[in-house]
Amino acid sequence: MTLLINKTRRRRIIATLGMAIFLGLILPAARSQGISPATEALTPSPTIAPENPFAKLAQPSRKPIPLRWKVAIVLTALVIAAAALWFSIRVWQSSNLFDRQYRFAAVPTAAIRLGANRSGGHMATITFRNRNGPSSGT
Amino acid sequence: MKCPSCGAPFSTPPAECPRCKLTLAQLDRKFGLVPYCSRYMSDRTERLPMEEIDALRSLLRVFHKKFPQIVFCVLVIDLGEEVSISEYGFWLINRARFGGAGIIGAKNFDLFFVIDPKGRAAGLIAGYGLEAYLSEQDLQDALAVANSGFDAGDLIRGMRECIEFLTIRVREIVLRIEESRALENRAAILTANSDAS
Repeated sequence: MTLLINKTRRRRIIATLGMAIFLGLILPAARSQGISPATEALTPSPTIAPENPFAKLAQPSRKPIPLRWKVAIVLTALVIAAAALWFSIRVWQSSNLFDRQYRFAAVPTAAIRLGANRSGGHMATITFRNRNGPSSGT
Repeated sequence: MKCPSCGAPFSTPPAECPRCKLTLAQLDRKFGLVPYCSRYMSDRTERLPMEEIDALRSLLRVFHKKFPQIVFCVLVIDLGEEVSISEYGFWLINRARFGGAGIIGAKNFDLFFVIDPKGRAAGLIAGYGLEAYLSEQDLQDALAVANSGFDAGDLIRGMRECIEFLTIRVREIVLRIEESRALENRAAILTANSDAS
């Protein structure tokens, strides 16, 4: 089945997956940046008695995220973004997006012959010399 | 203009070959049903590796993007020595509708490359629209390029080199036409300016 998917399509899938992972990493962080004033006004501020056994859990964690982790996350995101960009460029190049197109001027009429309306037999032919017949060419 | 069956040349477009009386309807009776051909590349012998077919299909897709009027299709089919490749190619380019059902006459810019490994023959056929631009010598040159691969027993290499050769040749032809048209326009402007002064 994988053989049926051509290289270009495979690259497109990889590029899309890369972009999806990248966005998946970025979007939750972007969303949790802060609470809007309207939401803050509606949200009741919880008050927990100090003798409550769950009081410690309600306190914000004193352990900050280690710098190494932050650096690792940023580096991973950058690597994924670079990979996605690289694959996208490959796809654009292979799809000839930036190359120009060449067109012929329309011919007004054609000399229709032998009852054929698509081609009048304008052709060339050859015979191979290879007696064994061409192989698959691998 | 010549007959795809007997090779008899004709100066005016005939309804049937003046020598062998060939018509497309006769070939319909001879070959029967049109074989299924997928867009760009079909291997009816089922001998070519799928990856190589995909690579050739990508090459033909790029060809179509460069030259949007031309639909270049390749068919590998075992016909045998008893079937004339020129008759078969002529029949199929007219019946398979590579470029679309309504693309007929001077609007037809199809290119069809048929390879018969069993009969050890190949043909390259152009639609009516390309006749004014791509000569039979150009087609023969493209087949000569493919022949080096075919002779070596490498069908894929032969096809790839033929497609690449035609990409370069067709591009050169279009550029040459554009250049001559630009020169004509410049000459017309100069003439108009001199007349005005």
